Amino acid sequence: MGTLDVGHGAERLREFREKVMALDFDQDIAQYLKVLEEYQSIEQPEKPTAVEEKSVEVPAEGVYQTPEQLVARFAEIYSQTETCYQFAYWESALKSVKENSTVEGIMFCKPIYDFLFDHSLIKTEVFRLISQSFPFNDFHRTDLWKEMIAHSENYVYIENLLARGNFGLDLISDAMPIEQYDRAQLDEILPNLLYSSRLVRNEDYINAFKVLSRINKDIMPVVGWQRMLNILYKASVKQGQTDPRDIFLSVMDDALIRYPRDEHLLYLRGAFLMAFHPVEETKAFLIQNLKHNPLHFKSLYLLGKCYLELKEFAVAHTIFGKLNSVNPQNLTYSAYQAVALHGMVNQPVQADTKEEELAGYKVRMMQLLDLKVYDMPEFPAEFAGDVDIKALGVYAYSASRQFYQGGLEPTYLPRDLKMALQLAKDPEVRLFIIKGLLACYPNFDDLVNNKETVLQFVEEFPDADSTNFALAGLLYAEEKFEQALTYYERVRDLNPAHTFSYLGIARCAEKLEDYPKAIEASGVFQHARKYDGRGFDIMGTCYYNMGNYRKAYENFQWMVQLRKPSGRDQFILLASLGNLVDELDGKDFQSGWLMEHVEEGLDLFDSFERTAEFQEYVNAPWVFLRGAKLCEFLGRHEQGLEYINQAFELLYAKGMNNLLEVALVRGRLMNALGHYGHAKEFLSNYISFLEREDTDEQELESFRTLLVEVEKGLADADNEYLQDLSVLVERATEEPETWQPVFVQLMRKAMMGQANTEMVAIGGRYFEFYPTPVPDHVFMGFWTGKAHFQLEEVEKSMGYFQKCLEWGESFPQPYYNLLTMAGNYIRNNQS
Amino acid sequence: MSHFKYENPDQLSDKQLWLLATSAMLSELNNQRHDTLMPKGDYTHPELMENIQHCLSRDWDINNLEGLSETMLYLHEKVTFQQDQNNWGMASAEELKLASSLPQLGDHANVVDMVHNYQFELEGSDTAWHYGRCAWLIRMSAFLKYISEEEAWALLEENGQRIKAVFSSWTDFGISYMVGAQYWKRGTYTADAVRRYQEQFLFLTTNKESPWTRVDWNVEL
Repeated sequence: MGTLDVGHGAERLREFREKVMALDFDQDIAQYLKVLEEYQSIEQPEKPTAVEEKSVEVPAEGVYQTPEQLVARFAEIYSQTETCYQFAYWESALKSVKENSTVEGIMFCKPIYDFLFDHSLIKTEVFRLISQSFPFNDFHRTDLWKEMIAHSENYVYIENLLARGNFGLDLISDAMPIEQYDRAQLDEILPNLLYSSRLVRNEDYINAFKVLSRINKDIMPVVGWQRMLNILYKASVKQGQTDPRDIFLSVMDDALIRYPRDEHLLYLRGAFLMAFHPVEETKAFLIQNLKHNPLHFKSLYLLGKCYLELKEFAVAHTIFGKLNSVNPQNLTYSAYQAVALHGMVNQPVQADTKEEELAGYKVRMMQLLDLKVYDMPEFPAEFAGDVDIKALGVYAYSASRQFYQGGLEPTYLPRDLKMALQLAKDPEVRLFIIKGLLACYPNFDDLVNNKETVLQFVEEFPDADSTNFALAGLLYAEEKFEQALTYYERVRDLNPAHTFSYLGIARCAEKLEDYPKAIEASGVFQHARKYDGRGFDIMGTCYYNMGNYRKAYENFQWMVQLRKPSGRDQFILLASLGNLVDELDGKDFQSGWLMEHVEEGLDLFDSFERTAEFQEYVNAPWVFLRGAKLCEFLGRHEQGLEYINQAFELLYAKGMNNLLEVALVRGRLMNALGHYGHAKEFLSNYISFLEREDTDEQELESFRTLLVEVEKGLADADNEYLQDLSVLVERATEEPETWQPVFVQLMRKAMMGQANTEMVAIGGRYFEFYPTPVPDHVFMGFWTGKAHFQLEEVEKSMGYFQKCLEWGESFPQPYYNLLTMAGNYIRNNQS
Repeated sequence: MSHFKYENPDQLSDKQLWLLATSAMLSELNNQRHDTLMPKGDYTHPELMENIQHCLSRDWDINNLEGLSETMLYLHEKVTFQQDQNNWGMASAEELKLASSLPQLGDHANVVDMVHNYQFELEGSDTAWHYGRCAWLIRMSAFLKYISEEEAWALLEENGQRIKAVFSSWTDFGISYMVGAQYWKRGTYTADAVRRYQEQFLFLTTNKESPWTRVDWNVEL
């Protein structure tokens, strides 16, 4: 079989199916999986993601002023599936009311309730929008509402929908091609699906099935058929009930007429066969299915189980190995792979001639060693003198010693493998031992240190992927990137399933600044090894160098979650995010995507350990600067200031004093936080320093402008603070219950005025009066702790920060920011 | 890490060896013997005792028989993944695939992915995770002399009866244990998070020094 040509998706799929159709799965399962791998390396079936809202252009909206007009418009929108499930239409109608109506909002509530009474099959986002647009809370306090709920409980149901939405409907409507149905059809389908969900949750499966059966078969969506057959399968196969078993196949036939290629339906069909029919019949069905639908991994899984039952363990092992590589989160795959392995190692070697038998034992020994099983099979005495059997025996003994005794000497195995190589004669065995030896050189340095050995191996086996791969690594270590690339590509051509050849290609291409090639190769590597950060590192670096910071960030964001991020990882993560923010220059400031990702990026950064390696990383200060600027962008000024202070510490430690941008950002953050006193002192001193250093006037001007702003702030805050402080403290002492929120306001004012002593007093009094934790305890605790810290009362401050974290477990919002900083203070001040 | 040979130095019966094998996943993680009641056979170094004592006290609040009894009750009654399977188990594949990618579900999206992966393929849900740890805790309690050896065997048998009632092979038991571990770590839903459990399962399923290859599942209790 030749390799597949790269071409258009549909054409490739057709080619792929043709090749698979011709296979004998019993003999060619490895070939099937190889073809599948090649197909997948180009066509990368994506895990389904949340449905993205399609951008819809809503026609010019009418003018709606009265509840009747709005409800009429709602009815229009609801009646068409093209509009009903598009949020933009509902939003537009409500916007028109907001802009044009002079009717009191509460007057809309009953008409809307009456509309929703019979038109409730809409998505959560619409319920939420309607709920936020009118004063339903006030309406629920009226006598009219009480009359309504007395008249019908359904109004309470609608009230719940307005408050909580309808997740069940959201899921169903996104899981089916809803635009293909008209209103009448949806009115039949959706209520029955929703009702059956309720029955299933109550474990009333019989009635759940009956309810689903009410839906006209000709309009039943695939989700409905799947649910029906799930119920029948569970009842017949798992619970052993005969009635469901009797009707399963007829219901399945009805479903498959309409959805002949649905993976889940075909899986259930196969699983049902497996439970009640001979395994050969099931196997034949599954193979036929896979020939027509090669990417049905659920059927491939069942086929693997068939092979296990038939004791064809090698085939089963290959299948489950493939499934495990596609979805390592499904633990049954690796489990059955292990079961197959156990079967393989316990099967006797069978052959017609002595030569074949000897060859069989060699193959078995190599198979076992490949799978890290070191108990070698017992073979006839006449084979004991065979040099290759002896060589493999040496290999097994040495590897097993390492396994059982933890490896006494690091170089033990390589030495023994070299000895084994001196014995072996059979080329296949020699190559196998060489592969084992090359595996003892996992790092580039190891290859360089054993260069001569590697070159000898390449000379002996110039067409083996393992030797070429080692040579490519050696060349890469010597920075001969073009030559290394040639050899990595050769490895890929010799063995298209050699995943790491793609990593090598990507690395070399990146060094050679051939970014498109590097991106393509790292994409293949990522697809094969979704949880290996290296593929994302290279792809992200390429995009970063190309100036595509969004894609760079998306890759780095995943990379840092897959491995413990180094200093450089943290730097590049924030650099790509920071560059993206700069590039957009506020254009997408309100963009949900940007805000969400900046927050997420900062949260990720906060979760990283600041190891010794990080502290020594040359760009560590700039990591904090990036972080501070992102915090400024989000308005997280306290956190930004923490970062900038850490940047300062690192820079001072490196003996760097001229820190223009860092200093400017610090000044801005202090100003934003109202730390006017400290900001003024800092900026004044820094400006003097810059003047002495003959700094460029334009740079100086930025600092002077900021200082003016700070001085203005200082003047305003001082007067206000001093006037209010004593009054508030007096009132709070007289009536503690009433004035609890005022303590918070008071603390905020004191914090802005840098009045640390007063902050300590306020905090102390607050906790005396209010021992029962509420969310504001986090705020009060943090700032009391911070004040103590500023007053160099570290032990007391740590006590407050610790309490913060405890309260934060019950009240993670709204002061999540302060909780993060409290944690940082504790971590950074642990003795 | 080194491994022990399976030698049965204390001449335990098949039934006793079966009961010990129910603790195998956690024993393997802790590099302990599978063929003696005590974790390292006759080896009883004070540091070993201190480590195990610390683990039982810190992680399980077990400092005596009472603590062990309460923990056993807790583990025998605990329902974890099974609840999610009940809630989602009859949903269509399309709904499960979609729900497992919804960011608003947070960690729960990972659980939905698990329901999808194991929809009809998981005997006993993840109860082996609770029962398997319970067996290990009984052994360690005996080692620390919170209970006598006789009591340990009785408790192991009680726990073992529950296991026998639900599972039909070491494979099914082991898969259920791994899934329980995966559910426990659902916040870190990556291949790396469960790799060590897979490695333990591989050893226990294939290696001749493993109790699961030496003790028949169908031993009478």
